[in-house]
Amino acid sequence: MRGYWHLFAIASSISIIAITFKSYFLYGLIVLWIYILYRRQRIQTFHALLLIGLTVLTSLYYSTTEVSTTIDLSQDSFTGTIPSPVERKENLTSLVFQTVDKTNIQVTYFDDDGSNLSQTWKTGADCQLQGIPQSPQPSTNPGQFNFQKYLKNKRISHQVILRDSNNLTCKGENALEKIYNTRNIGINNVNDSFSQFTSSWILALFFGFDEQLDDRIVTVFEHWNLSHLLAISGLHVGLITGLLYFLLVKTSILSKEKATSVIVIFLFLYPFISGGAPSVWRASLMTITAMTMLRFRKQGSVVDIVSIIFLVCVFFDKQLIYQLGFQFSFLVTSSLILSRKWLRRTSKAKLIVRISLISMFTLLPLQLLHFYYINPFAILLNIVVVPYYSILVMPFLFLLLFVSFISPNAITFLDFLFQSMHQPMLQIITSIDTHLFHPFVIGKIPLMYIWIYYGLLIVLFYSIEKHQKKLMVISVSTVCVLLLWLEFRPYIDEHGTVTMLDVGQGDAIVIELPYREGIIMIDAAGTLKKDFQTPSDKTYKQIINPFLYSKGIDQIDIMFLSHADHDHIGSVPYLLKNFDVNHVVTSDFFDKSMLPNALLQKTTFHVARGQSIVDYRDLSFQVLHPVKDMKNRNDNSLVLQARIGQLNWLFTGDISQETEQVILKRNPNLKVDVLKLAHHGSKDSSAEQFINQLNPKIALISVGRDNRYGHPAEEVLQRLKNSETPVLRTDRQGAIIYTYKDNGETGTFSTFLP
Amino acid sequence: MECVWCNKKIYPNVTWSTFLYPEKLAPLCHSCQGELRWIERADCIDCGRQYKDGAKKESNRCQDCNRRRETSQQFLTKNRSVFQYNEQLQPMITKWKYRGDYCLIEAFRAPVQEGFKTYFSDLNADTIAVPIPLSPQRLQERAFNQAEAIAQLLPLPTCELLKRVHGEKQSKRSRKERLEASNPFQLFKSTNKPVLLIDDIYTTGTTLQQAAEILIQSGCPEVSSYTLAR
Repeated sequence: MRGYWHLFAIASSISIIAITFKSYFLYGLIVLWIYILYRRQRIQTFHALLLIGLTVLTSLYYSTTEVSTTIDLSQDSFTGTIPSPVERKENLTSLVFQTVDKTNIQVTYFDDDGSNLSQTWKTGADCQLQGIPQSPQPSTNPGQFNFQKYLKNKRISHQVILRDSNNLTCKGENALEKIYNTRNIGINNVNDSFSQFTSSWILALFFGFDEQLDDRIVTVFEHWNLSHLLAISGLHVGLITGLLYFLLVKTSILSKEKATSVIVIFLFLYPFISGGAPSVWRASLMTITAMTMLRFRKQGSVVDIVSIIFLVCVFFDKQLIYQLGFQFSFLVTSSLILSRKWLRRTSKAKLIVRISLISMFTLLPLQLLHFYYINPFAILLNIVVVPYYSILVMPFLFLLLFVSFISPNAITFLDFLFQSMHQPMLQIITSIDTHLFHPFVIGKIPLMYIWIYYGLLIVLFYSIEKHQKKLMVISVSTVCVLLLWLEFRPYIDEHGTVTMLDVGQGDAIVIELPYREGIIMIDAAGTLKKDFQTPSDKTYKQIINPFLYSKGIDQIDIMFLSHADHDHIGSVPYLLKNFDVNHVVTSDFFDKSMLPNALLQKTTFHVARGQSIVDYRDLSFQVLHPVKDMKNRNDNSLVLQARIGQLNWLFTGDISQETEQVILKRNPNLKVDVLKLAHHGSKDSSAEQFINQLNPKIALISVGRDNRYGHPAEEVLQRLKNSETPVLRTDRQGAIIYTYKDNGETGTFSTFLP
Repeated sequence: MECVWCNKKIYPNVTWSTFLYPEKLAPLCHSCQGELRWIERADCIDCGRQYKDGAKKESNRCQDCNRRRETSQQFLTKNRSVFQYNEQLQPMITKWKYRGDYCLIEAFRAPVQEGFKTYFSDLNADTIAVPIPLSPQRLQERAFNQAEAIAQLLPLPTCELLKRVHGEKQSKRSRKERLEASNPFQLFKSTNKPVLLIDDIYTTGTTLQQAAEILIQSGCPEVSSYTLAR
């Protein structure tokens, strides 16, 4: 079997892919592959039989991935246990509650009454839960992160948000709790001993606890494919093992053999202490296996070790393979191992470049699938920052941790030293990000391109290994052509769309013209933090940005802003900052002070008045309002009328019935096909007369789920019902999408949620 | 599978080129295989000798071959060999040839076939392979003819056209003795097809030249030679 384990890992993963994506043709490929290997005597009969057996086994095992949902929702009290660590953050506690029939419920508790009861929530405890489990919110917009699926991948099907800590009563704990508790004690100790800055880094890099890292730094690292440095990855485990070994052996504390045993035991515990990310498990298990084999002078190949650990993981936990960290970790590790011929016998500098190149090329499709963009220059920063972490940051922090055990007094100086080294470095990285971050936004790509990409990548790595220059040039250029093709796909797409995003209580509408002739936005809602005061970038980050990126959009030609309310322009500052916004059009009563001046400099600002026309390509937006100052922000909303995809649209901002009257008076013959209902369906807007006069074929309402204003108003819905106008609403149906073709036919409306 | 030379287990090497399609296990392990040195370039176009690295190359024939040409003793069109006769190969050939470890031929199979493809791709289609024979006494001692074993690896028809008169072992004679010795071969059967002579080792080339001489004299149009080592 030695030297052949990887074949089993390949057969297993292809089976899982075939099952997951229902790409059953892959089975044909597997069988063909095994047959060829067997006929050409590359494998023996028992290999072939085992491979087929494993394929069948994996497929059967993975064909029943449905999360257990056998939960009786009629009751509101459940008995169960807490199987995994309890996460305690500042004023938030979250844990997984497992009922007797193995249904996992995510329990979240906002700890604002400071009760001590939550301290009895421990791993392994027997608990009683009071509450009504609910299905997690699925994503409601294209491109948005799917929290429901994310939880499902962790085998969690329901969630309960606790209002009162008495609703979860627990007793007892198990051995795991002691280990997890060590982690909490460690985290507290670090927080007590070090400055805030230093402890945030120690906690992230050694305890896998990244809560305290500065959000801005996390974003910057994400932009430059440096996130792997913030989570504990194989690199960290390797470095920690190396440092530990060095410390134990070089200081003659232990013999080499004993040091090995100590490290092996440590590595078994480490994943528990560090939060149990898949990459930590992978790296720890690999190091344990390698060290044990070395200890007993057994020879083995790394490929086999990684393959066996992959198979163990895949069969141990069905959901692991769907986790991004697991995919990243195994993909990078195996491609680096397969490239070892190219990585051997080369200078240190070249080695780092090569490792970064291999990692970048291998992870590119995953990066695209999850973030929709690539940053080709990230590799340059990686080449500098990865060695900086390996040589300076990690050993320095390790030393700090070590010193804190033996002489806590020396810490203050070392802590200061670390800050004066690391802070300037972070500043440099941040300023590079501000000036040089130009993502190559590609958007959501069909799965087929990913298979093509990986096929090409195998050819590329093959040609490098075999020194076949010609093949190498061909495969590299094909990869580039493929990426360019993906980038230019929208430019040959004859479809245009109008998307009303589900941004909760607010408006955000994106118009994409066919053949990428233009991107026009009408409003970009923002949210406020819990205090209803501080602006939050949540809507931008979670909805608007992922949507635009998933469409491959990094430039907005025209942005209409109806009026300066936060639920219409709250995300504009972030958009101005991160996108090229060519023109911003508002009414002349728009309160410009609501937007930062520095950002307005990046764009051309236009003021439109009633009866003016904004032309863009084949589109022309008729500005119907404001013609006069209505002395009210909502009523001064820009009202736009345009013919898009053979339909006549009216975008009304937040106008009230009073303004509707003004508009009707000036445009007595106004008729529309699609009416964006004013003010989220408020009862003060959309008068019966207005609706009847316009006679829309469909009405769209952008409104928040369970909003505190009671939008859309019952009266308004009744008026629409009376006029037999069908209604689509974002709170019920998620994003509303109108798709049309450039051929003169009317398009169709669809909604993100069924 | 074990290495035919050092008996260590052989495992497949898994890299980008082999992870989907494992390599066929070679009969020699990677370290034994690595010790064998291929003849990478024929510095002398006649005998296929490769000079030591850095040696000056004055003409495209070596001194020996030039001398043979001057005295009209050059009967071979060309000779080509697979490996350099080094410290790794010497004991392997000894064990194979003298101690009857016939299985070691497996270690040479692929290289001999590959070398044949590289050097003799322009060979006349009706060429026949003629192994250098052993005297009946020697054959009795060794149980097989190493030259014949090599010849059988090639995609050519093998014909025994020569026989050998028993004499002192070539390897026990000095260079001078070898060059002066009388021709130990007799013709068995003549041919009008081109011939590729096969032997295990090319040292001075005398044996092969003598065999070629007899063949040419009996009307053979062209004689080349191919050996495992030199």
